[in-house]
Amino acid sequence: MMRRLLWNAIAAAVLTCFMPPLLELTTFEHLWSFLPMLFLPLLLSHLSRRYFLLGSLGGLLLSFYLILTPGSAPWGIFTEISSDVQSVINGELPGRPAFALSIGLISFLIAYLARRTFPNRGFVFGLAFGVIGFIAYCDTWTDYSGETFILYPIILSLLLLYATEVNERPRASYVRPLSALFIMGAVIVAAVQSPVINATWQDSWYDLTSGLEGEGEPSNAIQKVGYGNNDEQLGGPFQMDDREVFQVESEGNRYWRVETKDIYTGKGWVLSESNPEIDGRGFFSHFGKEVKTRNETATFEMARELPFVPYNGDNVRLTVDQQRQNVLVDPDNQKISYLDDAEQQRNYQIEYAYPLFTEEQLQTDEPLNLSVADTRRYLQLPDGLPQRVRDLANQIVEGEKTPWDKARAIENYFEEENFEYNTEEVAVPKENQDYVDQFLFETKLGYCDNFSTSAAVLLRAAGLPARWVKGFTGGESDVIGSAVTSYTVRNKNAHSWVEVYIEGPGWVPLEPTVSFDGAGQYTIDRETNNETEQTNPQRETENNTETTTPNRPQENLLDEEQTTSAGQTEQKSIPFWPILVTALALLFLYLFRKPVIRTLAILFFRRQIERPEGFRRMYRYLLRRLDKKGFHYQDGRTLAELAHEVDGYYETYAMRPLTDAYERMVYGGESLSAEKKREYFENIIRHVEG
Amino acid sequence: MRTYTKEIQAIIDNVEKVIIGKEDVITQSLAALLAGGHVLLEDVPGVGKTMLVRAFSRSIGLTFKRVQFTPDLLPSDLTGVSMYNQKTSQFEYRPGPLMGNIVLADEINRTSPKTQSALLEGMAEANVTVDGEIHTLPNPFFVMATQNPIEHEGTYPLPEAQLDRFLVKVKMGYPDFHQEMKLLTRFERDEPIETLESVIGREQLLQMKEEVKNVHVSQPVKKYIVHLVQATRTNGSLYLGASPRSSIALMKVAQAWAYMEGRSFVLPDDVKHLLIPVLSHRLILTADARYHGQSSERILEQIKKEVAVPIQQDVESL
Repeated sequence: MMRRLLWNAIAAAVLTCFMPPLLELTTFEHLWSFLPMLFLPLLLSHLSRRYFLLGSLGGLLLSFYLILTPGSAPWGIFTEISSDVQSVINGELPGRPAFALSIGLISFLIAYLARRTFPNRGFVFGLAFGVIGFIAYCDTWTDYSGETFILYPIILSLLLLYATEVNERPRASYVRPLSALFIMGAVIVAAVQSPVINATWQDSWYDLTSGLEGEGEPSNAIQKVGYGNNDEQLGGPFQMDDREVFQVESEGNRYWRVETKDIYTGKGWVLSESNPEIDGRGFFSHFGKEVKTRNETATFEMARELPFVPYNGDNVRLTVDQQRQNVLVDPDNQKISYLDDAEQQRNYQIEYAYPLFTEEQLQTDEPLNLSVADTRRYLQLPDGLPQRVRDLANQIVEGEKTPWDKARAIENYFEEENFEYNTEEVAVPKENQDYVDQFLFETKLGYCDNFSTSAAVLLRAAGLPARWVKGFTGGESDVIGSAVTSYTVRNKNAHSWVEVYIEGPGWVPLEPTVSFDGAGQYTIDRETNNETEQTNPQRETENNTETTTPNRPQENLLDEEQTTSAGQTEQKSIPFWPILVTALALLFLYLFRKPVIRTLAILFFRRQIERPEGFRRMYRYLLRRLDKKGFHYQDGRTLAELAHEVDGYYETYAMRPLTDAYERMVYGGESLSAEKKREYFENIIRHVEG
Repeated sequence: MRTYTKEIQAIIDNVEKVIIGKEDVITQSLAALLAGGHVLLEDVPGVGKTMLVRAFSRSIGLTFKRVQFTPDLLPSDLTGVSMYNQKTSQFEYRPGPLMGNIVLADEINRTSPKTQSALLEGMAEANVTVDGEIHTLPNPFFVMATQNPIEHEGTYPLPEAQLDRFLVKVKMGYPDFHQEMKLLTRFERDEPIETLESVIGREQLLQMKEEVKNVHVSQPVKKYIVHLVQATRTNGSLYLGASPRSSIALMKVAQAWAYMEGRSFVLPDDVKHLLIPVLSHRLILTADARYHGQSSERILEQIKKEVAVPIQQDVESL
């Protein structure tokens, strides 16, 4: 009785779990007003039909009273329902009463089902999958976020399953469900404690669309709203997304840039102006006339149409089906897009000029020769930028002679100062706080936006024209070693970096983000300068197959300079190992419980069997074990009959002689040799626990 | 498949040469013989009741007498009479058919109660009184009485008190198809009963009967017997339950059975196996139960299922 009531209560609790997401999406406010009609039918489901129906109706009416007519006459419900039904008949959407009524009906039907099927594991699975599936659905397709809440129905369902098990078999062993429950608990605890728990429960839909439209960072899962081209508000955590954006076959691991932005607002980036024009090629004069370039080809295979063309270098020409295509080129943000959204391509080829800088070119000390407008644009800094940022910039570049050395100093600053790459604990600047200032002086941890924006601001503060670039890193290569390699670029490869203008070479990309090596943006030409290796070893990419994509935050921790933070992570995860070991040990014990029990029983009774009392105890133990196996010793059954059945089932001849010995002892006062008894016992226990 | 001692198996095999596929009847009758009781065979004519008894007596090497019970049969026709011998001027006792080792009392319910009681006295006391003189019946004395359950016209059904004197009641029943085919083959040429030879002698039988008395009945088994018998007394469908005499009978037959299986102690299995043959004729159903098609066999089956078998001294702890 109590067990059944408990089962009912747990089932009702599981059922109730589907309400919170529903409430969040509707205008209902309180869960408690729904509780009578959710709980009462299930709680009374084991009573006779009369009480069950009365109780269900009572619960329904009580809930309606609480939901719809607080303070007014109870019969007000009926007029409201009838008018509601009338409106539904007239083809309108149902109102609150009809909605509440349908929930009541669902609750009643489920209680009725439980009443008819109890105890039934199928029912439990159905209920659990229904509720959990509903929460998952709401989480994925609506604004509702059920990340932690979903644990409740899962745990409750497990409890319910256990309760069903207990009810199903009154004398069932408690070991199995309890150990299963324990292992589940251990796994959950281990999972919670584990340091690697990032890409589990994602808001997939938003990530996907943002990754496709937003060209920039993969989505901000927590904030969910405000993506697209908007980089005005940077900051806040985001989660990794493994969805593929495109596959590209190229002659090396290249960064794929999409666009740049020029105006830093103190919170993010905006574009000053945009004048796209139709052209047969994307030519932006990124590089100076003396910079050598190499023509490269890349073949793209998009997972889905993108409204822009990712590219590298300069002088980009788009080919679709061997037909040269005209594109929309915007010189203000160097974005290449299609003339028409309808022309978005999934398979195309681009040709581009890949820059080969020489150390000599980079180390130039030529004065800037930019137009006034460009100088203003690329040296722009907001008025509210704190002075300490400017001071820091000057401090970093102090002593450096050439612009390139200054730029390199700023690029390397973050790594030298042990800034941490992190995507999860990234703060959003406070209302009167500057984004860069917060990162440089307070948090010192962040992801590419923080590093690239800060680098851009520092460069500008140091008098070097800089612009903020968005695009994708090279991704992971599928095939290694051939001249043309295929790379898979995913949402998580979305990246931002910075370009500095140096008179002579032109716009040179920098990779300030720690743990990113900036490979694939340009190459220092070895043939013209042999000192390259010394000064810029990590820029060398021609032979770099990039097997370890450093874009992922977890793997960044492997960096030597990050050992301190890695150590911290390890400290945090200390409880993980004992729990895992315990769980494994329990699992092992559970899986091998039969041999363990068998061995223990044989060892335990080995000596005992010699004495009559011990033999009797052994036989009684055997009877109990057999009872668990379904060979019930019950009224009116003789031991010989039981033994016959047992031996017949296991196709052996052990229980009968053992029983014979036992009978001889109990009814005849005789005794069999211990040796024989031992042999028979070991024989039969091997079958029973086998 | 049950196993018996060599001697018992020999008797069974011998009898089975004549009676085919009736091992239960043979063994239960044998148990009654060893326990010193008598057997009531209840069945229609022609299923081999007489043949069984004759085979028995031949196998054991005992004298066999047969009495056909008729309404005009007098007690003296059974017990024998004292006749006046003119030569010696003395009354001399002429023994009747009861003076045999194995007596077949055919259709016992056809004769008058007076004659019936004369038989029953002999069965109970192992002696008969003729003209005030007591004549002891031969040892062993084993009566197998037959009763036809179909005909009621002109019969004198045995009163319950007298049925109680039979240790077991067995039913022959018809042989199945194969058994009957085998029967025909065996009887095709000759009468196998004529060639039957005794496998044990009278002395040996008497010794076996002594040994049966030494079979141990443990406390749990006694408890089981009492529980079973008491269950018949509290059963709602029974007008009359089993008497204490039936408890003793059950124990004795169980002892004989254990002996036949070569054991020196009684198992609950023996008791359970023999419950129906020993008790079924001693119970009287209520009119209501009879009306609802109950039978004492069916009620006893139920009791067998309900009464717990004591498997050790402290049964409750299991």
